[in-house]
Amino acid sequence: MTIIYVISKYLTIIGASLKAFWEQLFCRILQIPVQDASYLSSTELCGHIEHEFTESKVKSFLLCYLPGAMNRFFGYGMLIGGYLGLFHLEVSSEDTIFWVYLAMLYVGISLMCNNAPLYEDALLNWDLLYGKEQKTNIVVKILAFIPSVYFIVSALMEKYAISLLLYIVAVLIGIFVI
Amino acid sequence: MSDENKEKIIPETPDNEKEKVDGDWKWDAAVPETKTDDITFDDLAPVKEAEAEPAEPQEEEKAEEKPVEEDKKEKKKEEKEEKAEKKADGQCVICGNSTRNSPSDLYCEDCARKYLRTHFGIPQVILAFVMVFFAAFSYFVCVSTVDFSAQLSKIENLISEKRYTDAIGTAENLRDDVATLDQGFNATLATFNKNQKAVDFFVDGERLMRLLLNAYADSLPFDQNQIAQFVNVVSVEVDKDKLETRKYEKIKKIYDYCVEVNAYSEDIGPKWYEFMYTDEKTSEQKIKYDEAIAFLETCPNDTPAQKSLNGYYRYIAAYFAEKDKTLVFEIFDNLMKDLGEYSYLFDYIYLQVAWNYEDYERVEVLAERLYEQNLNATDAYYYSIKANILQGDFKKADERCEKMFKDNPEALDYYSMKAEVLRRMGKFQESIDICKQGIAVGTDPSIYNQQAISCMLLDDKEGALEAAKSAYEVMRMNTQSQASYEILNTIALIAQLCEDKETFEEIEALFTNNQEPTELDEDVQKCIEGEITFEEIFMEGYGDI
Repeated sequence: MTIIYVISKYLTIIGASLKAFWEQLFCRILQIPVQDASYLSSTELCGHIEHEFTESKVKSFLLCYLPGAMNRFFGYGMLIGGYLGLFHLEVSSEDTIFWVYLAMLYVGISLMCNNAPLYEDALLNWDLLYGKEQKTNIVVKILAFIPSVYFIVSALMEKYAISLLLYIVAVLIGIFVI
Repeated sequence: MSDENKEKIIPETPDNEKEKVDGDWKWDAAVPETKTDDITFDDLAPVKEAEAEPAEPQEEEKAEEKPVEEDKKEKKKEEKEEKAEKKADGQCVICGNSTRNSPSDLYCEDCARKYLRTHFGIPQVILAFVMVFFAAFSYFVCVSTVDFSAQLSKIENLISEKRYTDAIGTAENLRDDVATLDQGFNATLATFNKNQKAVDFFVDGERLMRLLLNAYADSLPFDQNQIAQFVNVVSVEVDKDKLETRKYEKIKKIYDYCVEVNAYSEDIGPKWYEFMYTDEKTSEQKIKYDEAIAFLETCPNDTPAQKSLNGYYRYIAAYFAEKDKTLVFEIFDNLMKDLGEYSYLFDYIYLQVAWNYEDYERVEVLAERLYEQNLNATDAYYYSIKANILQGDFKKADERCEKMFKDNPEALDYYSMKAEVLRRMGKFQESIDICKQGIAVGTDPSIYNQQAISCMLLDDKEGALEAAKSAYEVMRMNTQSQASYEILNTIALIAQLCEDKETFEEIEALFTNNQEPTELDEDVQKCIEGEITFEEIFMEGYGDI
């Protein structure tokens, strides 16, 4: 599965690099020691950086949330703009903007395929918030529940390249159905 | 932690503790919140032994669990206290050396360099700049694209609701927006390079053209100019390969029909017009009816295009030969039956024919069929409302006005039609009120015209003249006004009756100084001469000029 994962990361190299970049940046901001800052290693860490586990709930949550949120922030606009331009407006390949839309769609998908935290980070975040020995405020538990589930599910989807597959299906629907 | 990192950290260990470091170092202990400066082999040994020892009975484990947990908690507490002390003392939480200048720092210079990598290289900086630029540009493109898409969806909805005129209007707005955006884009480019040629960067896309062509195809009347225009647009705008695809199915069907109509018209048209002639005595157009019909009998009549043109020529022959309306209607009824799915092309022309032959019941039926196909067919409402008025059925005319408003809330025609219906019902003040509502919504000379007529009928000459002048002013601003003849005559009449000679002479001059000089309408002249009254013109018969 690692090969599939690595391939999916190299196919979405811009998003993968940027995700690792955001992780490194937020590790610095949150003062979490970074062990390995290579962005595109051919391992399960491809598209992520290796950092120390943190015992702080807030830091763990923010480290899961913020790098992905940055990718989503940039990704949504590009994905929606590119998809609408290509498949709804149906601009012709003879027009210059066709290539802009194509680039936006690729970068948008690339960013959206890399918005999940590392699976281990997502599990750690879950353990810190909902683990048996953890005394977390009930309000925090409720508020953080959906994002925490999203971290795990999206991390799993990225682990098995399912998110990339879904976007490819969406593009095929755009080409052949819409 | 990887071996490479372990090796990196060894030289950073203080010299006095180097001898304690070997391959059995518990690297997990090197996390920031763990006390690491006094770890020895002795500390690690019991852990190993405990791991090596065989499992003891569960009861004993449970008995020891509490003290072990307490020990852990105490250790954690101690670690935290120690860490806090270190922080307060300015010691690194990893190695214990003095921390950097900032009091909030937890690490010494060496550990910070190892763990808190802040040195983003040139690639990261370039990546960041490129991404920020691309993201900003993408958001600009995205916002405009979403706006275009929303308008496109609106057009699709309008077409699905059979509001073709509204759809075409919205499409024109969309094209204007695209052009405005392109102008802005080119102006921005020109600031960087004055020699930059204008480019059409933003485009409306193929979907809009397809929707427009669909709208035209669905509302196309059998008019040879419009048919030729449709063929021209399709052949210029759509590739032949695309025309064969499923998306262009309907457009292709109508396109093929129109192409065949044009070709067939070129085939038989010259021969057909040989049967037309001008009567020398009356200068009227006439036709050799029997010969023309005999010629049409010899022409092929297999495809919808051939049937359409043959039927149309039959109608023209009957019209110029001044045949009875029964024959004309029979020609159209047979034609509609033969054409099947293409019959809608003749709805509008049939409606006008029925109106010209004053068959108002037929007008109503045809108008209803027409605006079922196109809710924006305001001409169909106009003819059916007029037909109701002429039949004296004002209630039905009023109902149709309301339906017209429901289907076309933005159409100004509603106000002038409703005002006319109310006027014919004798409700002059209500007619003026509805005109005022219409004037508040938009500018249309027909509304002012109706207001002027109602004011005159209420004997409010001042109000009538003011409204008539407003109508004239609006007409002068809008040279494409369709109701110009009728309205100009009404304004002239009101001006004359209100003793505003200047306006009257100005309008009269418009008629006489025209390229083809004409006079004011016969009814206007009669009314001025006192042969008929104002009420007789506007309250009887057609109710207008």
